[in-house]
Amino acid sequence: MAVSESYAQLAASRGLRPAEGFAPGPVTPLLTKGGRIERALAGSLADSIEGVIGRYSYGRFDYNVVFARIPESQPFVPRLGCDRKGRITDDTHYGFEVRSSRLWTESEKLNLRFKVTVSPFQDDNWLRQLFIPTFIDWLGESSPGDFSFELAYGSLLCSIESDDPGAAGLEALWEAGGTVARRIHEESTE
Amino acid sequence: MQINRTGYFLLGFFFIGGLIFTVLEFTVFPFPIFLGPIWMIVSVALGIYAIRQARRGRHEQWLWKTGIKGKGTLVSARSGALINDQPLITLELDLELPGQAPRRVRRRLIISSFAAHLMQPGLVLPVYVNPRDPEDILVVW
Repeated sequence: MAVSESYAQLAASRGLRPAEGFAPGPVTPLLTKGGRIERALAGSLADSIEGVIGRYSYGRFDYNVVFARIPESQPFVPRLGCDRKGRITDDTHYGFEVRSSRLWTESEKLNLRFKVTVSPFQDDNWLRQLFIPTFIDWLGESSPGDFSFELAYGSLLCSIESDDPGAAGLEALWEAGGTVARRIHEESTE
Repeated sequence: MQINRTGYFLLGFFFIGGLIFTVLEFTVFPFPIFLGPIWMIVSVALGIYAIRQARRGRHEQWLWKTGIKGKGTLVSARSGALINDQPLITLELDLELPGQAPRRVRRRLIISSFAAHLMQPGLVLPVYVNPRDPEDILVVW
Protein backbone atom coordinates (compact mmCIF):
# COMPACT_ATOMS: atom_id res chain seq x y z
CA MET A 1 0.00 0.00 0.00
CA ALA A 2 1.37 3.44 -0.92
CA VAL A 3 2.21 5.83 1.89
CA SER A 4 -0.42 8.32 0.71
CA GLU A 5 -3.09 5.60 0.89
CA SER A 6 -2.03 4.70 4.42
CA TYR A 7 -2.40 8.32 5.47
CA ALA A 8 -5.77 8.60 3.72
CA GLN A 9 -6.96 5.48 5.52
CA LEU A 10 -5.78 6.87 8.86
CA ALA A 11 -7.54 10.19 8.18
CA ALA A 12 -10.77 8.36 7.44
CA SER A 13 -10.62 6.03 10.43
CA ARG A 14 -9.61 8.72 12.95
CA GLY A 15 -11.45 11.69 11.48
CA LEU A 16 -8.25 13.66 10.94
CA ARG A 17 -8.13 16.78 8.79
CA PRO A 18 -5.32 17.90 6.47
CA ALA A 19 -2.75 20.24 8.04
CA GLU A 20 -0.77 21.24 4.96
CA GLY A 21 2.19 23.49 5.64
CA PHE A 22 2.45 22.40 9.27
CA ALA A 23 5.90 23.50 10.48
CA PRO A 24 6.50 23.51 14.24
CA GLY A 25 10.06 24.77 13.83
CA PRO A 26 13.25 23.33 15.36
CA VAL A 27 11.65 22.65 18.74
CA THR A 28 12.87 19.12 19.49
CA PRO A 29 16.23 17.44 18.79
CA LEU A 30 14.92 15.53 15.76
CA LEU A 31 13.20 18.60 14.34
CA THR A 32 16.44 20.60 14.44
CA LYS A 33 17.66 18.50 11.51
CA GLY A 34 15.91 20.90 9.19
CA GLY A 35 13.56 18.48 7.49
CA ARG A 36 9.95 18.94 6.50
CA ILE A 37 6.73 17.39 7.73
CA GLU A 38 4.58 16.27 4.81
CA ARG A 39 1.17 14.63 4.52
CA ALA A 40 0.33 16.25 7.86
CA LEU A 41 -3.02 15.38 9.40
CA ALA A 42 -4.37 17.03 12.54
CA GLY A 43 -6.92 15.94 15.08
CA SER A 44 -7.68 15.17 18.69
CA LEU A 45 -4.84 13.03 20.01
CA ALA A 46 -5.83 12.52 23.62
CA ASP A 47 -8.30 14.22 25.94
CA SER A 48 -7.88 17.92 25.21
CA ILE A 49 -4.58 17.56 23.34
CA GLU A 50 -4.44 18.30 19.64
CA GLY A 51 -1.93 16.33 17.61
CA VAL A 52 -0.48 16.26 14.13
CA ILE A 53 0.77 13.16 12.36
CA GLY A 54 2.97 13.36 9.28
CA ARG A 55 5.98 12.10 7.44
CA TYR A 56 9.18 13.85 8.47
CA SER A 57 12.10 13.70 6.06
CA TYR A 58 15.58 15.11 6.20
CA GLY A 59 18.46 14.06 4.04
CA ARG A 60 17.96 10.41 3.23
CA PHE A 61 16.10 9.70 6.45
CA ASP A 62 12.33 9.29 6.74
CA TYR A 63 10.31 9.10 9.91
CA ASN A 64 6.62 9.05 10.63
CA VAL A 65 5.95 11.37 13.54
CA VAL A 66 3.24 12.60 15.86
CA PHE A 67 3.63 16.11 17.23
CA ALA A 68 1.74 17.68 20.14
CA ARG A 69 2.15 20.62 22.48
CA ILE A 70 1.99 19.90 26.21
CA PRO A 71 3.19 23.21 27.68
CA GLU A 72 2.12 22.26 31.20
CA SER A 73 4.99 19.74 31.30
CA GLN A 74 7.71 22.38 30.94
CA PRO A 75 8.15 23.27 34.64
CA PHE A 76 8.39 19.58 35.60
CA VAL A 77 10.36 18.02 32.79
CA PRO A 78 11.87 20.54 30.40
CA ARG A 79 13.75 17.91 28.44
CA LEU A 80 13.10 14.19 28.11
CA GLY A 81 14.29 11.80 25.46
CA CYS A 82 13.10 8.21 25.32
CA ASP A 83 14.91 6.77 22.32
CA ARG A 84 14.78 3.23 21.08
CA LYS A 85 18.05 1.53 21.93
CA GLY A 86 20.24 1.47 18.87
CA ARG A 87 18.69 4.51 17.26
CA ILE A 88 21.38 6.90 16.11
CA THR A 89 20.85 10.17 17.92
CA ASP A 90 22.88 13.32 18.13
CA ASP A 91 25.09 13.14 21.15
CA THR A 92 27.30 16.14 20.81
CA HIS A 93 29.61 15.05 23.60
CA TYR A 94 33.21 14.78 22.59
CA GLY A 95 34.45 12.93 25.60
CA PHE A 96 35.47 15.55 28.12
CA GLU A 97 33.09 18.49 28.49
CA VAL A 98 30.25 18.93 30.97
CA ARG A 99 27.22 17.14 29.58
CA SER A 100 23.96 18.97 28.96
CA SER A 101 21.99 15.77 29.56
CA ARG A 102 22.20 12.66 31.68
CA LEU A 103 20.95 9.12 31.39
CA TRP A 104 18.09 8.03 33.62
CA THR A 105 18.56 4.34 34.23
CA GLU A 106 16.37 3.59 37.23
CA SER A 107 13.97 1.33 35.37
CA GLU A 108 15.62 -1.89 34.23
CA LYS A 109 12.61 -2.80 32.13
CA LEU A 110 12.75 0.53 30.33
CA ASN A 111 16.51 0.17 29.86
CA LEU A 112 15.99 -3.01 27.88
CA ARG A 113 14.36 -1.14 25.01
CA PHE A 114 15.02 2.56 25.55
CA LYS A 115 17.68 5.10 26.36
CA VAL A 116 16.13 7.75 28.58
CA THR A 117 17.90 11.12 28.77
CA VAL A 118 16.96 14.15 30.84
CA SER A 119 18.42 17.48 31.94
CA PRO A 120 21.26 17.08 34.48
CA PHE A 121 19.04 19.05 36.86
CA GLN A 122 15.94 16.93 36.51
CA ASP A 123 13.95 16.00 39.63
CA ASP A 124 14.11 12.19 39.75
CA ASN A 125 11.00 11.94 41.93
CA TRP A 126 8.92 13.50 39.21
CA LEU A 127 10.32 11.07 36.65
CA ARG A 128 9.41 8.15 38.93
CA GLN A 129 5.87 9.51 39.06
CA LEU A 130 5.76 9.87 35.27
CA PHE A 131 7.14 6.41 34.59
CA ILE A 132 4.62 4.48 36.63
CA PRO A 133 4.78 0.68 36.21
CA THR A 134 1.79 0.52 33.82
CA PHE A 135 3.40 3.14 31.57
CA ILE A 136 6.74 1.31 31.64
CA ASP A 137 4.96 -1.97 30.86
CA TRP A 138 3.18 -0.37 27.95
CA LEU A 139 6.41 1.19 26.60
CA GLY A 140 8.33 -2.04 27.01
CA GLU A 141 5.72 -4.46 25.68
CA SER A 142 3.02 -2.71 23.69
CA SER A 143 4.48 0.37 22.02
CA PRO A 144 5.44 0.05 18.32
CA GLY A 145 8.73 -1.79 17.80
CA ASP A 146 10.76 1.18 16.57
CA PHE A 147 8.98 3.78 18.69
CA SER A 148 10.78 6.70 20.35
CA PHE A 149 9.62 9.99 21.80
CA GLU A 150 11.20 13.26 22.83
CA LEU A 151 9.79 16.10 24.87
CA ALA A 152 11.45 19.51 24.79
CA TYR A 153 9.99 22.54 26.54
CA GLY A 154 6.45 21.33 26.07
CA SER A 155 6.82 20.04 22.51
CA LEU A 156 6.30 16.29 22.19
CA LEU A 157 7.49 14.39 19.14
CA CYS A 158 6.79 10.67 18.89
CA SER A 159 8.34 8.83 15.97
CA ILE A 160 8.82 5.53 14.23
CA GLU A 161 11.57 4.86 11.75
CA SER A 162 9.71 2.67 9.24
CA ASP A 163 9.63 4.19 5.77
CA ASP A 164 6.20 2.77 5.06
CA PRO A 165 4.53 1.41 8.18
CA GLY A 166 1.19 0.95 6.43
CA ALA A 167 -2.16 2.07 7.75
CA ALA A 168 -1.90 -0.24 10.76
CA GLY A 169 1.53 1.14 11.62
CA LEU A 170 0.28 4.73 11.43
CA GLU A 171 -2.71 3.79 13.58
CA ALA A 172 -0.32 2.30 16.14
CA LEU A 173 1.86 5.44 16.06
CA TRP A 174 -1.15 7.74 16.54
CA GLU A 175 -2.36 5.55 19.39
CA ALA A 176 1.11 5.49 20.98
CA GLY A 177 1.44 9.27 20.62
CA GLY A 178 -1.88 9.63 22.41
CA THR A 179 -0.80 7.33 25.23
CA VAL A 180 2.44 9.24 25.81
CA ALA A 181 0.77 12.66 25.53
CA ARG A 182 -1.99 11.64 27.94
CA ARG A 183 0.49 10.29 30.49
CA ILE A 184 2.66 13.42 30.41
CA HIS A 185 -0.39 15.69 30.56
CA GLU A 186 -1.89 13.75 33.48
CA GLU A 187 1.29 13.84 35.52
CA SER A 188 1.92 17.52 34.77
CA THR A 189 -1.53 18.58 35.86
CA GLU A 190 -1.84 16.32 38.90
CA MET B 1 33.62 11.99 35.96
CA GLN B 2 32.61 13.40 32.59
CA ILE B 3 35.02 11.35 30.49
CA ASN B 4 33.29 8.83 28.28
CA ARG B 5 34.70 6.08 26.05
CA THR B 6 35.59 8.59 23.34
CA GLY B 7 37.50 10.62 25.89
CA TYR B 8 39.41 7.64 27.24
CA PHE B 9 40.22 6.57 23.69
CA LEU B 10 41.58 10.02 22.81
CA LEU B 11 43.61 10.23 26.01
CA GLY B 12 45.04 6.75 25.48
CA PHE B 13 45.65 7.31 21.78
CA PHE B 14 47.63 10.50 22.26
CA PHE B 15 49.50 9.34 25.36
CA ILE B 16 50.49 5.85 24.22
CA GLY B 17 51.05 6.99 20.64
CA GLY B 18 53.14 9.88 21.91
CA LEU B 19 55.15 7.58 24.14
CA ILE B 20 55.88 5.18 21.27
CA PHE B 21 56.85 8.02 18.95
CA THR B 22 59.06 9.60 21.62
CA VAL B 23 60.97 6.34 22.15
CA LEU B 24 61.31 5.80 18.39
CA GLU B 25 62.36 9.38 17.73
CA PHE B 26 65.20 9.21 20.21
CA THR B 27 66.35 5.67 19.45
CA VAL B 28 65.52 4.71 15.84
CA PHE B 29 64.92 7.92 13.91
CA PRO B 30 68.01 9.74 12.61
CA PHE B 31 66.81 12.92 14.29
CA PRO B 32 63.82 13.75 16.55
CA ILE B 33 60.81 15.50 15.02
CA PHE B 34 59.15 15.98 18.44
CA LEU B 35 55.82 14.51 17.28
CA GLY B 36 55.81 12.13 20.25
CA PRO B 37 56.35 14.80 22.92
CA ILE B 38 53.70 17.00 21.25
CA TRP B 39 51.16 14.16 21.39
CA MET B 40 52.00 13.55 25.04
CA ILE B 41 51.53 17.25 25.81
CA VAL B 42 48.15 17.09 24.02
CA SER B 43 47.08 14.12 26.15
CA VAL B 44 48.11 15.91 29.36
CA ALA B 45 46.23 19.07 28.28
CA LEU B 46 43.13 16.99 27.48
CA GLY B 47 43.43 15.29 30.86
CA ILE B 48 43.61 18.66 32.67
CA TYR B 49 40.62 19.92 30.68
CA ALA B 50 38.65 16.77 31.54
CA ILE B 51 39.44 17.13 35.26
CA ARG B 52 38.36 20.78 35.23
CA GLN B 53 35.14 19.97 33.39
CA ALA B 54 34.39 17.13 35.80
CA ARG B 55 34.95 19.52 38.72
CA ARG B 56 32.64 22.05 37.08
CA GLY B 57 29.98 19.40 36.56
CA ARG B 58 30.15 18.38 40.23
CA HIS B 59 30.01 22.02 41.31
CA GLU B 60 26.91 22.64 39.18
CA GLN B 61 25.23 19.63 40.78
CA TRP B 62 26.18 20.97 44.22
CA LEU B 63 24.77 24.40 43.35
CA TRP B 64 21.56 22.85 42.09
CA LYS B 65 21.13 20.87 45.30
CA THR B 66 22.24 23.44 47.87
CA GLY B 67 22.09 26.85 46.19
CA ILE B 68 19.51 29.57 46.81
CA LYS B 69 16.77 29.03 44.27
CA GLY B 70 15.46 32.05 42.42
CA LYS B 71 14.40 33.06 38.98
CA GLY B 72 16.06 34.89 36.16
CA THR B 73 14.02 36.85 33.63
CA LEU B 74 15.72 37.03 30.28
CA VAL B 75 16.47 40.57 29.16
CA SER B 76 18.46 39.72 26.06
CA ALA B 77 20.09 36.76 24.35
CA ARG B 78 22.82 36.99 21.74
CA SER B 79 24.15 33.95 19.98
CA GLY B 80 27.72 33.86 18.83
CA ALA B 81 29.99 30.99 17.93
CA LEU B 82 29.03 27.35 17.63
CA ILE B 83 30.81 24.96 19.99
CA ASN B 84 30.38 21.27 19.21
CA ASP B 85 27.54 22.29 16.86
CA GLN B 86 25.71 23.99 19.70
CA PRO B 87 25.27 27.76 19.95
CA LEU B 88 27.18 29.72 22.55
CA ILE B 89 24.64 32.24 23.84
CA THR B 90 25.19 35.32 25.96
CA LEU B 91 22.23 35.76 28.27
CA GLU B 92 21.42 38.89 30.21
CA LEU B 93 19.13 38.10 33.12
CA ASP B 94 17.34 40.04 35.84
CA LEU B 95 17.76 37.95 38.97
CA GLU B 96 15.20 37.69 41.72
CA LEU B 97 16.37 35.81 44.80
CA PRO B 98 14.76 35.53 48.22
CA GLY B 99 16.27 38.05 50.63
CA GLN B 100 18.43 39.74 47.98
CA ALA B 101 18.07 42.93 45.97
CA PRO B 102 17.22 42.39 42.28
CA ARG B 103 20.24 42.60 39.99
CA ARG B 104 21.20 42.09 36.40
CA VAL B 105 23.82 39.50 35.39
CA ARG B 106 25.33 38.25 32.17
CA ARG B 107 26.22 34.61 31.53
CA ARG B 108 27.56 32.74 28.53
CA LEU B 109 26.14 29.26 28.04
CA ILE B 110 26.30 26.54 25.45
CA ILE B 111 22.70 25.62 24.74
CA SER B 112 21.22 22.90 22.54
CA SER B 113 19.85 24.17 19.23
CA PHE B 114 16.29 23.15 20.07
CA ALA B 115 16.41 25.25 23.25
CA ALA B 116 18.22 28.23 21.76
CA HIS B 117 15.20 29.51 19.85
CA LEU B 118 13.26 29.72 23.12
CA MET B 119 15.75 32.18 24.58
CA GLN B 120 13.64 35.27 24.02
CA PRO B 121 13.29 38.33 26.31
CA GLY B 122 10.75 37.70 29.03
CA LEU B 123 11.50 34.00 29.42
CA VAL B 124 11.89 33.02 33.08
CA LEU B 125 14.58 30.46 33.91
CA PRO B 126 15.34 28.83 37.27
CA VAL B 127 18.61 30.00 38.80
CA TYR B 128 20.62 28.72 41.76
CA VAL B 129 23.10 30.94 43.58
CA ASN B 130 25.91 29.91 45.89
CA PRO B 131 24.93 31.12 49.39
CA ARG B 132 28.55 32.12 50.04
CA ASP B 133 29.30 33.68 46.64
CA PRO B 134 26.59 35.74 44.91
CA GLU B 135 28.53 35.68 41.63
CA ASP B 136 28.48 31.89 41.52
CA ILE B 137 25.27 31.32 39.56
CA LEU B 138 23.77 28.32 37.84
CA VAL B 139 21.26 29.10 35.11
CA VAL B 140 19.15 26.04 34.34
CA TRP B 141 17.84 25.90 30.77
